[in-house]
Amino acid sequence: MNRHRLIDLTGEITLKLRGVVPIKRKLIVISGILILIAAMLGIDYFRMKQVEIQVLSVSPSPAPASSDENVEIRVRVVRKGGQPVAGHLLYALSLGGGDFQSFYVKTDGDGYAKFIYYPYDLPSYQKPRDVEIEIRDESNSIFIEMYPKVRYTIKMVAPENSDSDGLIVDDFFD
Amino acid sequence: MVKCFLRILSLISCCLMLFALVSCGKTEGKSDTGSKDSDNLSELDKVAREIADSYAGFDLPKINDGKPVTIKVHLGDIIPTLSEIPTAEQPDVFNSTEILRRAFMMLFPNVTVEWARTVDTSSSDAFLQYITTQLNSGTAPDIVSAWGASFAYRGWYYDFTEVLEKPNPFVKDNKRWRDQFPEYVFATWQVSDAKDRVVAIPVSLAAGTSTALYYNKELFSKLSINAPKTWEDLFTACKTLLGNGYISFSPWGGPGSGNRKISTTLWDVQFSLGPYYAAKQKDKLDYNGDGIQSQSELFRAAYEGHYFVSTNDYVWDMWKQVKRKYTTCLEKGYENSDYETKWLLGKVGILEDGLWRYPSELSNTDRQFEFGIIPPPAIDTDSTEFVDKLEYTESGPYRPVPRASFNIIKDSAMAHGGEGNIQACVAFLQFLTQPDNNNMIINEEKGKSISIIKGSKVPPQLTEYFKQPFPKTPSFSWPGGFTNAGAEKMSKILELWVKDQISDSEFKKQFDDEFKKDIMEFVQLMQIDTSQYKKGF
Repeated sequence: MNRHRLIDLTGEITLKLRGVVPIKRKLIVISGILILIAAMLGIDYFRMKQVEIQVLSVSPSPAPASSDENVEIRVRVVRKGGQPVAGHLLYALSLGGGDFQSFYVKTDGDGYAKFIYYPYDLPSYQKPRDVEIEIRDESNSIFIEMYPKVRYTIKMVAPENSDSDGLIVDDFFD
Repeated sequence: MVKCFLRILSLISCCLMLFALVSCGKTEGKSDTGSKDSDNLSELDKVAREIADSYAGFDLPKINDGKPVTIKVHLGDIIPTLSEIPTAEQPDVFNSTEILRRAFMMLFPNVTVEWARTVDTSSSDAFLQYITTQLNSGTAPDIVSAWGASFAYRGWYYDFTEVLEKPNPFVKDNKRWRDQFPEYVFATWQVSDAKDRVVAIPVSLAAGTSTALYYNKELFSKLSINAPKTWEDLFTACKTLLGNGYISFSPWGGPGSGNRKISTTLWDVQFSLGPYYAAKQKDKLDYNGDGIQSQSELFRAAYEGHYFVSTNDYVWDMWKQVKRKYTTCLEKGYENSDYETKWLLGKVGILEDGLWRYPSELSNTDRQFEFGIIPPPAIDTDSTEFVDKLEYTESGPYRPVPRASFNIIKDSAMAHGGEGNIQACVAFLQFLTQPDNNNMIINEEKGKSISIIKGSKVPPQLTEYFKQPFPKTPSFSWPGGFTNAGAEKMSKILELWVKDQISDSEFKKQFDDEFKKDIMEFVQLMQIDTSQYKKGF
């Protein structure tokens, strides 16, 4: 609104208010923007629902809670109709300790991908706890980050032999 | 009609805001005094309780006679993250030190450990300024992580030498805390000062080497270049890469910083050249002949003139190698170029960086080629007569240097509770070096470091890197200046010479003059007794 202030000789003030943009037009513009955002959300939500990440195998399972172990997790990304999703970037995250050799992996031509998970080391005074991992497809969204994802619990057991047959730091001291 | 429209709009807006709120996800808070505010916090508490319970039957000290005491702790890059639950948006959480803090407070209910998160360690100047101000206002932390003994000349730090001779109460059957560590680390600047006082407790070692060269395997294969093992191999590789139109070598650091800015502490000096040149002069530089140059021996050698460039051919030769690298090995304009994108596109042959880059490099799917990783190539007899024949390990690194080490600022600790505070600080550091606790920290570092505690496992992320032979870097050092100000002035002179802005003779004179001033300043600051030294100038 533009505000015009007029003062006459007697000192009386007159205010005249004039609308520049009609309120209806404003509402149309705002609602247009909102509808656009909603449409973008809808598209990405729809795309997210079309893709499924399947955990095909976890080996060994249950996995010994030792960083000496390499746990192989094979996954496949497919569309609703079963067609493989090739070249998508998958991101893996451990929610319960341990680490991945590479937390980003791309699916191959048939939609397959493989992650290597290094379990946490179980101290002698603790009981093994299962580890939940999350894998998500980061190549699926167009406008807003809505990723298809899957959570999987890796069963953990105490390692049979607590003595490591791997490298120890003492090997580097002399 | 308009009212109805407005209502609909408000409804849509509310829905969108709600959606945005949900999408952003929950961020779990972590208070610095350890209050519980979510289910996950109690999960951390459960683990902390298990750890605390594992010390049942241990003869633990009574800190501050059981009276309350609070310590403020800065742990550098192993301070816990504020977020405790990893999410895809914030995958890197660091909880181990928080769990250990809670376990420690369960064991010693009269001790409160608070994190000091605002310590400015962005540069040594910033740190100096920060600590000076905080000490004056009585708000400095009690434990800091600040480049080992680098600022010991300020007289700030507690001397651990005596307490290291006593047992670590958190380790069963431990006779001497010092025995938990490999002995060579006590000769490094990360741990000991020029009087050989232990002023920092190390908790981790570099992941084999502090730094590494990442190279484009496909490019090397295409141009028939071998991964460089020696300093001379590096020049051969760079020459071939440059000759074929590639960027030969990307020094570590952003434009105008890191190793793109010439200084006396360049990684080449620290890891590829200095120790090898110094080791050849062991008769002069290792006074007790034990094969390890301590920090006091390093200073004495400098004081006696063994690192002056105008009077020692080997010193002159070492600095010439630095100039050779920066004038023949690198592409013109390297100082201000950012090669990261070109690396991803396969246009860079060799990229210099820390081992901390390794985990993210393994996960980088934008890179269009396979990469290899090698330790910094060391100088051998094919480059100069001033070094011994280079030796290699069969596989794996040789005497990795400390990565993280922690000092107690004694004035701060005394002001915050006197001896009781120092007792608590020492006990907390002993707790962090208990093998299981230390391994918990190292595992969470995901290959950025290895444990310093004897008997510890190597993180799985590093086993592939450790399959190759590593040069046996001698336990000798090369001083780049003893005070901060001195090192900066010497670096400036070095830079002018490398860039041909001063002559060889000007460089030698100016560099040595500045070094002598720096040495004398250091003698005063550290109050070093030089009566038994032969003054080399």
